[in-house]
Amino acid sequence: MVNDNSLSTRRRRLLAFGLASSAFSMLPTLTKAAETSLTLPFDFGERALEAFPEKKPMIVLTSRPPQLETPFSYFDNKIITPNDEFFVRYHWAGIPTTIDPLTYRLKVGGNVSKPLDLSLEDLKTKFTAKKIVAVNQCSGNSRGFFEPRVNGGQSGNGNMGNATWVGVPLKDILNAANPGTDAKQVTFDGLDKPPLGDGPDFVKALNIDHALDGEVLVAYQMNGTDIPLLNGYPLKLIVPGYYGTYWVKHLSNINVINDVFNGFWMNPAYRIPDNDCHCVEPGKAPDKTIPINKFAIRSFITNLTNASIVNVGKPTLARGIAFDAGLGITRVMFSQDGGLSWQETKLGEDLGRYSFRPWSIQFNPSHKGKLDLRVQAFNRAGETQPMKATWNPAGYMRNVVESVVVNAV
Amino acid sequence: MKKIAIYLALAVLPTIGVAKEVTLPQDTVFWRPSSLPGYQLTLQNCSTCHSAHYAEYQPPNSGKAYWQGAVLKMKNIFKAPINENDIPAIVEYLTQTYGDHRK
Repeated sequence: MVNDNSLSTRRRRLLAFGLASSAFSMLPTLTKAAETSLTLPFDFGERALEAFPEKKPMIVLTSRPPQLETPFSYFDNKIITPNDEFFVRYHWAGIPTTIDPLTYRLKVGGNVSKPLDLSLEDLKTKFTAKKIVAVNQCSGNSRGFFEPRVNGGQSGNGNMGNATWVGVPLKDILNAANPGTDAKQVTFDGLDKPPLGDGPDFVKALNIDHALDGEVLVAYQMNGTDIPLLNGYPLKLIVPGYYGTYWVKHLSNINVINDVFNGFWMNPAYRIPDNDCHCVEPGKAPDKTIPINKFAIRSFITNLTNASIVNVGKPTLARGIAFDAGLGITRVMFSQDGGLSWQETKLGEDLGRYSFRPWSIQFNPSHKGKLDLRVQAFNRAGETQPMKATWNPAGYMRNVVESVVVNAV
Repeated sequence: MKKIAIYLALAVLPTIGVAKEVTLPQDTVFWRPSSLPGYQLTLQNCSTCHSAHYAEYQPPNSGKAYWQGAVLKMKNIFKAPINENDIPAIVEYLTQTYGDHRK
C-alpha cells in the first residue's frame, strides 16, 4: 500500500468497476471482487487484486517486478482486450518508470551496412504504418493448472490478451539498415534491466527470415493510443502467433548477428521439448529442447463458470473465444456432456487470423445436476486441442480442452 | 509577430512535460516471519530484487531440491550477491516455510 486510505479508494474503484462491467456481462464473479481478492482454482491460488498504473484491478502474481494477470471475467463479451485490462509480465525489477518520448531512441546495429538511430518521430514519419490485431499470450499462461504442479509463475488462464497494434514492419526497419547476407538472427533488447547489474539482461532473438517476414512489427500504438508503460511504452515488438516472451517491451536495441544467440533467456530459459507434442512424461526431463515458438491452439468459455446455475430445457447462451498461431480458427465445437457429444458453435466477427475469434451457441441444458461444458477449437490445418492435458517441466503451452462445470436446476 | 508567436510555441512544445511516468505500488506480500536464521538472511538477500510473491505462490510439491535450485540460480546465474555460507540457512528457511510447509 502506498498510503493509508488506498484500501478504501481501491474498494470504491473496484465497486464502480464491478457495477459498470455487470451491465455488459453475465458474469457475477467480480461483483464480489470489491473484496480485492479472488481465488484461482488450484492450491495456493489466493490472489490480491490491485490497480497498478494505467490498469484496472488485476491479479497480482508478483508486485516487484510487476506481473499482473487479467481476471478471467474481463474476457467475456469482447474481442479486443482493453489496455487497462491487458496482462503484464516482467523478468527484472529494473523497469523504467519514466520515459521521455522526445529523447527515446531505437538503435539498429550489428551486421548491417547502415546502423540506425531512430526517434519515435522517425518511426512515425519515415516509415509506412501497419495495423494488425494479434493475441499476446505468456508462455506460462495457465501454469497453475499443470498436474503434477510445476514451479514458476502460478498463472490462471488470464495471461493473454488481444489488441490492435500499429507500428512499423520490422522488415522495413531492417531493410533500411541493410543486413549482411550472412546474417542469421536478430536480437531484441529493451530498457528493462536486472536491478543489480550483472544478471543476464532480457534479450530475445528471432531467426533472420522470421524477422524479415513482414508480419513482425515494432508497435508504437495499442488499441488506438500509446502502449501502457507496463506493456512496453513507447515501443513493443509484436510477434504475431508467437508466445509473449518474444514481445520485447521498451524496445531500444535491435542487433543483427551471424550466429545463434544463446543468452540465458533463449537458452536454457524458454525451451520446450523438441517433439511433436512438446511434452514429456510428468517428472521426466526432455532429451532435446528448442526455443518456445508458436501458440498452441486454444479456446475458452467466458460467460459461464463453475459457479453458474443454468435451467434444464431453457435455451442458454454459451460464448467465448478461440485462437491459434495464425492459421485461423475454422470451427469451435461445444459439448455439455464432457466431450461425449458435440455441437458446432457459431463463429463471430473475424478481426484477422492472429486475433481472438469469438464463438457462441444456444444450448438446452439436458438434465439436472452437474453439466461438464467443454469447447474444442480447430484451425485451417485441422489442428485441435487435446482432451487430456500434456505436460512439460516448465509448464508452458497448456492447451487442453478446458472444462467448466455448471449446475443445472 | 504572428509568425514569431507560432515559432515560439513550437520551440516550447518539446519542453512541455510529455514524459510518461508511473509510480509503482509497494509490496503487499511479505516474507513469512520465522525464528529460523534464514529468515533475516532472506530479507537481506532476496528482497532487494523481488517481492516475496515468488516464494509465496509456489505449489505444495515444492521441496528442498526446488528451493536449493532456486537459490543457486539466483546466485550463479542471476548474480545475486549471496554469501556462499548463507545458502544452507536460506534454503532451510524457504523449505520449512513455503511449499508443503506453507500454512
